[in-house]
Amino acid sequence: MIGMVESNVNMKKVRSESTWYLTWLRFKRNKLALVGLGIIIVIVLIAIFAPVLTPYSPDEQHLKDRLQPPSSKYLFGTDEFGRDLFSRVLYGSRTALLVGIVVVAISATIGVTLGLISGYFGGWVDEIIMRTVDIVWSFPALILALAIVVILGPGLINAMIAIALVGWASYARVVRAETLSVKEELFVEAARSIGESDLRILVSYIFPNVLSSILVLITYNIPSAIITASSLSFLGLGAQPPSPDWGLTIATARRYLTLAPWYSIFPGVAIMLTVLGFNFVGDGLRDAVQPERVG
Amino acid sequence: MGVILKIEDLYVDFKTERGLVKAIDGVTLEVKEGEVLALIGETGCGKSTISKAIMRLLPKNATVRGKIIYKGKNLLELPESEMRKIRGKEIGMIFQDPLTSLNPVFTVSNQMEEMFKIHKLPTRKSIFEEIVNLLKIVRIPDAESRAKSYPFELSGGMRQRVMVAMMLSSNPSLLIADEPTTALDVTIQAQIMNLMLELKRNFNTTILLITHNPGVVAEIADRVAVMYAGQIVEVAPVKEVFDNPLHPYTRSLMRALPKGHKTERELENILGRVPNLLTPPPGCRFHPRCPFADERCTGGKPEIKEVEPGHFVACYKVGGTRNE
Repeated sequence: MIGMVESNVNMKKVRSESTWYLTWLRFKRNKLALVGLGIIIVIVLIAIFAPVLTPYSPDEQHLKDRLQPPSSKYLFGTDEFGRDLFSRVLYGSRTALLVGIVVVAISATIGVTLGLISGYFGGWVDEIIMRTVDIVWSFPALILALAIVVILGPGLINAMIAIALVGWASYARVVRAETLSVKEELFVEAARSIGESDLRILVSYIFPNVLSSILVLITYNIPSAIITASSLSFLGLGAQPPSPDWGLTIATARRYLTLAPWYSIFPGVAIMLTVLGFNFVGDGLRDAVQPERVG
Repeated sequence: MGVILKIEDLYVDFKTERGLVKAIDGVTLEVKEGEVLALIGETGCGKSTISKAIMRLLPKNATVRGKIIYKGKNLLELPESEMRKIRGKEIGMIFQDPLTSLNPVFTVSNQMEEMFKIHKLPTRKSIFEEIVNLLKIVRIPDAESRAKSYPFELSGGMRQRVMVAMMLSSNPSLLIADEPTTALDVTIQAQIMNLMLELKRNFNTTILLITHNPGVVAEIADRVAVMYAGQIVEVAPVKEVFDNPLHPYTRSLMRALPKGHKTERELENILGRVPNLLTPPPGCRFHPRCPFADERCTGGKPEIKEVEPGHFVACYKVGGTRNE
């Protein structure tokens, strides 16, 4: 009797998580994706616990120890003001993640909304939205972001807005394409046949069914946003000193490249690892979510 | 018996890249309260188009003319907001493919809840309990945990039961079942059909059954309307259609059925092919395949007439083709 109850409970547990649980099972089989996930978790933890993990404040200057090579005192060495690079690189993860999250939040909200509307209603609305997407896409992302930042003025927040204003287009296009196929599904017609409104069909029937593609896109979008933001910072249009932003750090380090190569290497490696982690997860997620709609 | 749905002179055209497809050509049909009317015809003859026209769910490239009068109101003239109140509440619909007619990301109870929310259905207990109760009525075993399942965890028959249960929740006066059993295997077909018959008996639901399966028709229909290439050619009580078909098309169709006798003769087929609806033949659309056709049939479309009590036929030749 007890055994029966237990097995029942187990069954329910599996059932209630179904779609996402199955996706997780497929994701888990991909070793590279797990490595990526591990990297992301570590970076998130570093960003959260930076004050605990760092020996110095990122802005603390040790003017006697300028441009020191890595040592037990300064794990990644120091910069031209004698600031501990280890502390700065760790703190820099906060800026990177902030950029990733804010940019994705803005561009996904704009892009997904427009994509759903475009795909579902079609006609001239679709035409206007898609031609705008074409225009956005006809510029190299960095150049367009650069132009927008120049208009808005330099600074991290403006850089994030600029990147988001460029990034929404890919969401719009992917979501529109998915919407076009999902809206032909019988369950959408069935929803209409029980009297659902267009808005409700979009929100509860189409959106959840395109969500997996959006998630994949987000995991690819985060690292590209981080790279673009770093590039803008590198060009002096993003984060401003004394921010420990990785791009900005590399820009400053360029002047000391022959004198203190570690100065640019460590933030560079940090960017690379972060981007790699998200891309591995993106690949794994893309492979894991695909076969989901099959009965 | 009153008339619950009256289709008058319905035309549906589809604009396509290759031209205008005249899918429905002047259909007039009455559905009486409490009956099971089977709409039968081969694939592509416009059965589903009629059902979608009733629900106003045709794609944008369709133009509809005529009248569809449901309980005195012309559905084709209702504003969309009024139409939404009719869909699901007054007129329910069950689809051919239960495998894809449920939202894959909703659990069964989420999905059924929608009906309660859209139409603000009264509940005696909690909505979830009502749902479990409905699932029990359609004989889904272990209803509580099934209510929490996702569609892909259920078999096709089970999913079709969920659809039926969903319809039960609002108890519509008219149920349009568009090939509800085509995608199911034979034993499950019978169960679903019985379920629908129970519905009809217990709630006096009128059923418009769309099918190309004469076996299903013989089992549950009261009356049959036979369609050919977008036109209704014959309407009669079910027994009449099988025993005394009058329209040449219906007769060929019946002769093409396996009877299940031991002395089965070779099945006949109907010569020729279904006309292309881009350029339908003038007059009676069956005339190119009809052994009795003459110049009258190519001239104008024959009107549907009551040739015997309750037996309507659209053919100039009826009477002359009675002797088999």
